Amino acid sequence: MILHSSTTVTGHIQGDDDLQIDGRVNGILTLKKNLNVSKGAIVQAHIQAQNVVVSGVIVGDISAHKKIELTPYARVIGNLQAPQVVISEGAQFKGKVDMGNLEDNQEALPVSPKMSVTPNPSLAGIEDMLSTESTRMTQSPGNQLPPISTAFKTIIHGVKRRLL
Amino acid sequence: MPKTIIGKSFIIDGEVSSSDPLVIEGTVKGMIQSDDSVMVDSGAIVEAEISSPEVEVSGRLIGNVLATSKVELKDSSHVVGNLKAPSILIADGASFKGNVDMDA
Repeated sequence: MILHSSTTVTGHIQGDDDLQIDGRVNGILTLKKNLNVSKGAIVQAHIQAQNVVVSGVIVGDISAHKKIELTPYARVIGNLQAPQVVISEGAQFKGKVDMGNLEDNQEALPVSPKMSVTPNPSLAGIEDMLSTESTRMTQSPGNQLPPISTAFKTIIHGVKRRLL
Repeated sequence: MPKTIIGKSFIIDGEVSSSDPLVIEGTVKGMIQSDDSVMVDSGAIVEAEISSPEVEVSGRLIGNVLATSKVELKDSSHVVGNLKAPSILIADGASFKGNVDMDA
């Protein structure tokens, strides 16, 4: 089916055959086969089809079961989702691309959540440091200066309390 | 002048407008407007308001038709709605329910 340049459709288009848009479409496109948005066409729609070839202007998300191709004349703002995405030189595009296949390998990738699981690693380190320091102080045989070591201990405890 | 054909497998829910002839073979719900002509083919299912200089119906239509020139209901047509046009033709065999207004 061809929607010529003088034709405007507003709403939901569903179809089992190929569709070529030369005109304007605003709304939703749900196609079982291929969509071709010609040079000069202006489409503002959420698009779902098997293959999508864009030479015109599209504002909206495009999802294809097989392939999305942006030719050199394409001007697209929106997100692309398809196993194959081709963006030719000259095409203008703003949005996300999702080829879907990364999800299978995601477990193999080093992901950061493990790092953030340990609560405040810097604070834990300080606690260790303080406890070793204080034991060293109590074990120190320097009985000649007991008031200083106890004073130091209270300072350390104060710091510890403030940090924890 | 290129005809825009809404194919058999297509369903449009909304508005279709064109300055060229429109041929409906599939399903359209909503509104159809053409500056040239609208043809509802046999097999088409239309639930829409149609406005165009010329309207020809061979399929099923539920909705009002406003034509500035002519409305023609062919023998295979099933139409429920009001027709307004200076010239209205209803063929033998057509089924129609609604008002006819031929006021110029």
